[in-house]
Formats: sequence, C-alpha cells, structure tokens
Amino acid sequence: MSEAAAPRIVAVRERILKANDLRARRLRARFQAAGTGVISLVSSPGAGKTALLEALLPRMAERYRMAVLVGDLATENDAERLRRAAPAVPARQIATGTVCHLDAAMVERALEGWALAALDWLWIENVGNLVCPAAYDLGEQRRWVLLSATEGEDKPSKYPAIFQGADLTLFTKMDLAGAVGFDAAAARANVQAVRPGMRVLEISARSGAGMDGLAAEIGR
Amino acid sequence: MAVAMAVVEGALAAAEREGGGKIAAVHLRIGAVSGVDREALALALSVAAEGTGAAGANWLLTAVAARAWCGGCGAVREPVADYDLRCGDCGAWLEALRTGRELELTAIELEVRQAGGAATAETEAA
Repeated sequence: MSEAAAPRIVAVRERILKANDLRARRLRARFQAAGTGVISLVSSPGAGKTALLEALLPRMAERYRMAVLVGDLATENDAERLRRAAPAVPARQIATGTVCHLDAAMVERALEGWALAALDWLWIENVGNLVCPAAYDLGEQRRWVLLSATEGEDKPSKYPAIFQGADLTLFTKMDLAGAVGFDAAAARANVQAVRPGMRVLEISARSGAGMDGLAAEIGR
Repeated sequence: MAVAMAVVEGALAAAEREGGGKIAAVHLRIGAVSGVDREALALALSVAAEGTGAAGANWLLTAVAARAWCGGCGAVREPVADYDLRCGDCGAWLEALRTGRELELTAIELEVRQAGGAATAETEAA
C-alpha cells in the first residue's frame, strides 16, 4: 500500500450565504417585474414592529394595495393583530419554529398564491432579533430598523451590523422618551458612528407623532 | 448557528463535487465587521458538523480587517475601531467598505482515500 498522503486542498472561494443571496436576487427581480415595493422591518423583540404596522396600514390602505408577511418563532398573534387593525390588508404569519430570522426561501414560500402584480407594497416583519436577520437578504428594496426609546441609546453600538444593513432608522415609542430618559441626540450619534449618513425618524405609533411623515416616506 | 450550518453545507457540497471523502479542514475568511463572532462561529461549526463528513474537521478562520475609502485622505484607510467607522488617520467618516464584511468559504482539505478506500490517519492525528 502507498504511504499516507497529505490531504488534498480544494479551492472553493464562495460566499457562505450564497444560496440565500441567489434566491433573494430572484425575489427582488420578481418584485421589480411586478411593480411591488417591499419594505422589511427589523428590530429587537418588542420594539414595536407590529404596533408600527397597526398604525401605518390603516393610514395607507385607501391609497395602496398592500399585504404583510410577519415572522415569529411561534403563534399567529401578530398576523391576527394586523388583520384586526387593517382588515383589507392580507396578513400571513411565517412560523419559523426554532429559526431566529426569516430567509429568502421562507419569504418565497409564504408568497405562494398571492398575485404580486396586484400589490403596491409588501411589508415583511422579521423575527425580533438584532443579530441574525442582518445576514439574510430577503429580496426587499428597503429595510427599516426600529430602536425603541425604552431600549436605550447604545443599541447601534452593540449591534452595528443590523444598522449598517438598513436604509432608515426609526426611533419608536417616543411618547415614552421623557419617562425613560431616552437621549435621542446620543442615539442619533451612535447611529451615525456605525452608519454614516443614515436618516433617522422619531415616531410614536400610540400618539401618532411622526406617523404622517413616515407615511410620506413610502412615496420617496 | 444558521451561518455555521450554511458553512457545513457548502463544505459538504464542495467535497461532493470533488468525489466525496472526509473533510479534514475548512478554510474561512471572516470580516471584522461581518457581524459574525469568530469564537462563537468556531463553536457552532463543530456542533453543526456532527454526524456529517465534516465532523471533527479543523476550522481555520482567517480574520479580514475592515478597510474603507476615506474621502479626507483620498486613500483606503482602516477605521478607528471595527465598529467606529471614522478614519484612523484623519478622523473623517469613512465611505464604502472595501473589506471587512466577508463571510467566505475559501477552501476545504479532503483526506485522500487510499486504494482500499480507508482515509489516511495522518490528518486525523494533526
């Protein structure tokens, strides 16, 4: 028998999330062909993604045809909240089981049976998580990251990747900013440090402050 | 963990294309601002590889420093810190990142099968 050989080295050189990126690219092309605008929301759990949509969808429902995909590990709760808030807007829950983020394949499956061409806007509410969703392209055109006043100013410094991958930052629950001592200027500086030039809007889904400005954002 | 599973899948697929065999080592390039912690990833990789042809492989993770274009200096510079994207030289906000976001599978090492089909012991001892 021959002597033990050295291992054979095989060059691969591929991006680790290539399969997801390819699928996301296909989705993006489909959305564009259908003329559907797609905005995804990312944040930590409880930062107000669902509350934001509950406030925003009724404001937009007369002008636009919309639908929502909402991801959570379990339950239909968020989809049910959104159906109550905006009965004309179809909402589908994606239950991810143990997976802490949405990926392009989940979005693709959840879209089955929906005619994209009949939608002006598709909203995708990601699983509440500031880490894993950053690495997964869903084929969306815009990604908004939410930071609630109750979370404190330093989340952008602690979880920079999610801010670097977003197009717009929303400071939510600003009606509570005074009560919890949220320093919006400091939070803005932290956002700028990790993502120079990022725009920030301050809103409150409960009081309605900033919501009209946000609705106008859709037309940009 | 999901990233680790994607790495293992990619490595197994590459091994398959090469005719199969046990994977002795996997080479990865991980950017400093990719959002992936190298130590956490190394641990997740060994777990994700259990029961596959990559079980027990050496995970060789190379760090890639963040570098970005600085308009102030007119050159590619490194930032003050990984997640403080100001120029380390002049302090201006850096523009597009040139390196640092990598998550790449660069190579795999396959144990060479002998005539009898058994894997060599040399790499397992390494």
